[in-house]
Amino acid sequence: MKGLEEFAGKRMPYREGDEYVSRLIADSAERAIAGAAVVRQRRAAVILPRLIAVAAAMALAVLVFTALNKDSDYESYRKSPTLSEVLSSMSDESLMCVSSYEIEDIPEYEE
Amino acid sequence: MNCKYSESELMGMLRNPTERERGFRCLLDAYGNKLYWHIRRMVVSREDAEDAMQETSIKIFSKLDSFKGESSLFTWVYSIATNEALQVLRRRCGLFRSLDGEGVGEILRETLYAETDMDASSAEVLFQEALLKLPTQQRLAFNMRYYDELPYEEISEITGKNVSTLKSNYHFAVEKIKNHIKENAI
Repeated sequence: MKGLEEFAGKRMPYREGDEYVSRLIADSAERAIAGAAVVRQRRAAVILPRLIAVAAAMALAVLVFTALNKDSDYESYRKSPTLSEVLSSMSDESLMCVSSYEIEDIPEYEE
Repeated sequence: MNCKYSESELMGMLRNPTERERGFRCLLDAYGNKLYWHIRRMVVSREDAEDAMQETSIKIFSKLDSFKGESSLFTWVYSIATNEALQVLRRRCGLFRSLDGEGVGEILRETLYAETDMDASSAEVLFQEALLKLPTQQRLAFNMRYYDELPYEEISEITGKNVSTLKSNYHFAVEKIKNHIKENAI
């Protein structure tokens, strides 16, 4: 390795001196610290409104769902025919099927 | 800045929220110069080096909590700087171009000629020219070993390559540089 070191050393052929590099590094340290502080503040400033927005959206979704489905059970109950209507609309054969069954069809109750 | 702390003292400062910022300034005071020149050698362009140095500082500061102390602090910050430098190179040379391709060396050599100090010796320029002809992995291994005199084990930790690969990378790099100098030295 001595050969290469003797040939060109370890100096780089660029203009910036030690002082320039030291200042650049000090500046980049300060910017990193300041940037982190800004990110922390921004995160706090962004997270709270986001949480509120998400909670509001969820509440709204629940309200809408409830409102849309509020009457559906009652409506379907109200509109459904009575038992006598159902039975009177059935043919005699169908009624026979409903009312007659063999005792064997009933499953045995086991304790 | 008066920062004469050992690594363990620096670690203590960085782990303490009230001393963290001072610890970080001292960390960069201790290693910043090496990091900057490592980046500059890799990316060549001064503007890119400054950007990468800034990104490195931001990453180091924001990831202090994730540093587990499994490697030395220097190895850790050096790895971040290396990644940033490679990232910049990828952006500069096109995301889809391999960093080991010939085109990358050409772009970097043009930058070298544009940014070379008027007072630089022709030997220094020729040496850099030879370096920029190397594939990126060989150049990386060479720079770490030649300029920063890092042991192979540490280079291995930083690059994730095994020691024997790094040794052969370095060996080939030296041979290629010597040949380039032989062919082009006046």
